[in-house]
Amino acid sequence: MSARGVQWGVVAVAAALAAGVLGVQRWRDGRGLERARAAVAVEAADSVRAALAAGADLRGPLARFERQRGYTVTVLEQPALLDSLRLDEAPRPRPGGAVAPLKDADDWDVVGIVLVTAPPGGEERPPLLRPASAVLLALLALLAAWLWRWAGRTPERRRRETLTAWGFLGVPFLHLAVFSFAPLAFTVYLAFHEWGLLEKARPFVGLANFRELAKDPLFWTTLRNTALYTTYVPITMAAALGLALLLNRRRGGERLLRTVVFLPFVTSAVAIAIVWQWMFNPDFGLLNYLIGLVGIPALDWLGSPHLALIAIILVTVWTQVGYQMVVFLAGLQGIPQSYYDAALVDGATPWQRFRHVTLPLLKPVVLFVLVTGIISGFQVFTLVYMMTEGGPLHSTDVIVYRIYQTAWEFLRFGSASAMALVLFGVLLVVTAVQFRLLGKRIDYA
Amino acid sequence: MTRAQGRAACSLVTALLVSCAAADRGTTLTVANWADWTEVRLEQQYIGGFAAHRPGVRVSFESVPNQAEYRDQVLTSIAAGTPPDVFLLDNIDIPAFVRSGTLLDLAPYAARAGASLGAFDPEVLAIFRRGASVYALPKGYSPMVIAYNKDVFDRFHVPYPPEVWTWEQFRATAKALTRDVDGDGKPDVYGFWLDRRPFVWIGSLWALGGDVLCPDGARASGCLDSPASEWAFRAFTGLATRDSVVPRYFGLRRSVGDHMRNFYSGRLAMVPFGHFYMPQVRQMLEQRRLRLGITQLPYREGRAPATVLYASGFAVARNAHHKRLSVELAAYMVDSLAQVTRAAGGLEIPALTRVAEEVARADTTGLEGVFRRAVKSGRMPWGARIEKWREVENILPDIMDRIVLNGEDVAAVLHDVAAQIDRALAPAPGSAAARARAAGGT
Repeated sequence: MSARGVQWGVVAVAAALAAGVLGVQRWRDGRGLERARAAVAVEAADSVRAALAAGADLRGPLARFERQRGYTVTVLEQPALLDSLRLDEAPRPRPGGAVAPLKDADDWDVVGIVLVTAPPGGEERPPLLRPASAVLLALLALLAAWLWRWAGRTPERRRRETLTAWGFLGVPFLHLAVFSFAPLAFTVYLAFHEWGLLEKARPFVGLANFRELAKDPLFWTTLRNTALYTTYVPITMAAALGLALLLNRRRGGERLLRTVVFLPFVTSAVAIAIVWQWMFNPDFGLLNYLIGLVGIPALDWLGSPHLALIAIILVTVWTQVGYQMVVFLAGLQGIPQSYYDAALVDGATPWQRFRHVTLPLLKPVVLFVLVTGIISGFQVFTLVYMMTEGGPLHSTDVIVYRIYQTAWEFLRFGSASAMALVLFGVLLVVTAVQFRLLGKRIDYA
Repeated sequence: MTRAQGRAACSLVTALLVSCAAADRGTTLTVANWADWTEVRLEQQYIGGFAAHRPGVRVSFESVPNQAEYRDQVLTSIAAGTPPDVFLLDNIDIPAFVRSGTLLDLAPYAARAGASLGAFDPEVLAIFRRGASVYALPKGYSPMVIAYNKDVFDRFHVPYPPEVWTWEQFRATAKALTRDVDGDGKPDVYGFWLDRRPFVWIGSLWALGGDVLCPDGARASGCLDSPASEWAFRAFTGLATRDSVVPRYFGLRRSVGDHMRNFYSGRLAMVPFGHFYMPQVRQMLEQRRLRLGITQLPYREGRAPATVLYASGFAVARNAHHKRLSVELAAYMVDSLAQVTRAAGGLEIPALTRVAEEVARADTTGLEGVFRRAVKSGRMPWGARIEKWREVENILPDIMDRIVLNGEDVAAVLHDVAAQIDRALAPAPGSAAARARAAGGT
């Protein structure tokens, strides 16, 4: 596409987006106007009801209402609409106004219909451009101008590649914006406010939610437990790498074994938790039976504060090892055979081949598995929720479970959001450290 | 495809669309509850009568059997401005829902909707009442009692317990029933089951003279660590640490139901019990696979018997779209037809006094009568009174854990946990509630 074509394309897209912004604003203003009229209609219906209950003449109160609010009030006679309002008591929009059900003195039976009509030009008209829309349009115009300039200056090939890349990135970016960035922004907002979900008010509390966290010993316990829980990552990685090396052959048996090892990863975590709860049962669980065969006395796996977290780590290792094995297998199969052949010619032992060929070339995979493993480790929830609910003695209380409890059980969404932000910060730092330590020298085959 | 076939297909699609559109006309009322499929089936048996008298109205159930998930769903729908027309409200959620102004006061409309408030058990109605306002129409309720397996008592020639008994009688019975049958040095049958979950033991704590919170519900210090509460916790935990009449201490919050299986199979003689276990017990009683007795919670000599009453009721959101129909539906769902139909499932005691009495009269096992008599000493749960009870309930299991698992001193643990609860009940510094309290204080 020529530079001019791209520039006019940018203008067309910007114009479409601007029309969209104005359309949304207009729709919102229209809804706002409808809501305002509905509120006036309900207010008018209440005035009529009060006047009827007092046995007063309707004309006086209606005239007063019309004088004060500027709307014309009429009591309608429409049997079909009355029947409909008896079922659904909500006010409804009408051209230039709204209708509301007129209730009897006990606020129970719908006995009539009140219509309010706004005099032409009598309502406050919404502005053509609201400040938020103006900011968005200005940003859009700036972006369009920048893209116009960029299209004019960039060589055609680079322009085409960039546009293609953005063509692919655009959809996931939009998806991320709606389902990740927007909730993240709302979480940041909530962390500095107090909100109980049922209340409309969300008063600003500054850093109070964070101060409360700092003083809460249970929050630090959950952080410590979560950090301890993530020790499953190196254990699983070692096991997964071992399995990947063992199963990195193309025979029937290996394929079947890979499937068997991978199966727990695609099994429902809830089902896994229930089955393992039985396996861990101190009285009749399979695990105690097995350790009993070698003379180890029965253990109260999930009931002991010293063992409960280890038990959950054990289940996680079993669940995750298959996935990590598959990632390592992919990494192993990406290492060219010629490297091993060269090492063999040089007389390298199997250990030396692993140490000096396999491991360095697997470093990107190791980094990927480590980073994603630690992140998902910090987000552990289902197993704890299903198996121990944080007990006994808070030995399995982890941060995401605490966030869930604070938000959905205690209805303190502000505190829960503050915890989520702290978790976000911790993960950011841990990931940055991992990249700094492991990501510097990566050898690509 | 020929032109004629094309026309026929178009006509068929049009007819289908028209009929779908016609079917969609009218009003659909949604009822949200945490019923499982057997309960939903019972609800559907009588609900047809409501729609039959109201042309164009249909009732649909949104049931989520998991109560925690159900609560999340109802909260979200109310916050989003699309509440179910009628929803089942657990007693623990009343304070938060009432304070936030979420619920419609049903008292002014109950009579016109066909519900007589005087017909409900007053102890149960009180759970949903705030002053003259009533925020849910009671569906059913259950007191906590003790269930015993008669076969175990007969096996060891231990007399059945009286309906009302003291803690010492209970303890002696539990000891007499804990037996090593195979002579391997370990008991094979245990007298009782110790549960760390507060909703299970709070009634017993009251019966032994203790309490978690002081009467104003604003603090635990001075009440949870009072001599009476300390005596009660020493008694509970002593069953595990001193008397060894309970099996391995169950350190989890979530029970996988082991204790009930052990109870049914005769490895446990007595268990804490609520009416909500009756649906699973009934079949065993009918098939004579279980001989069950029920007795009230043991009380401390010199104190009055006590238990806790758990109830649920049907509520209507203040922002309900069909207010009158919703109130009428809520009233219909607690009237005698609904309560009698529901009683067939046996999940709870019907909230209407007359229906509960009839159910007790018709019961041949005698169990319903004991439940009804236990209600006389029933108290409203703390959850129905204070908003932060869930947070308190989250701290309380630590008491038994620390005493039984860690071997910590009872008095020290109670003192420490009471201080933790006080902190949880106090408004967070900087919060709106704290500012309001500070402003009120100055």
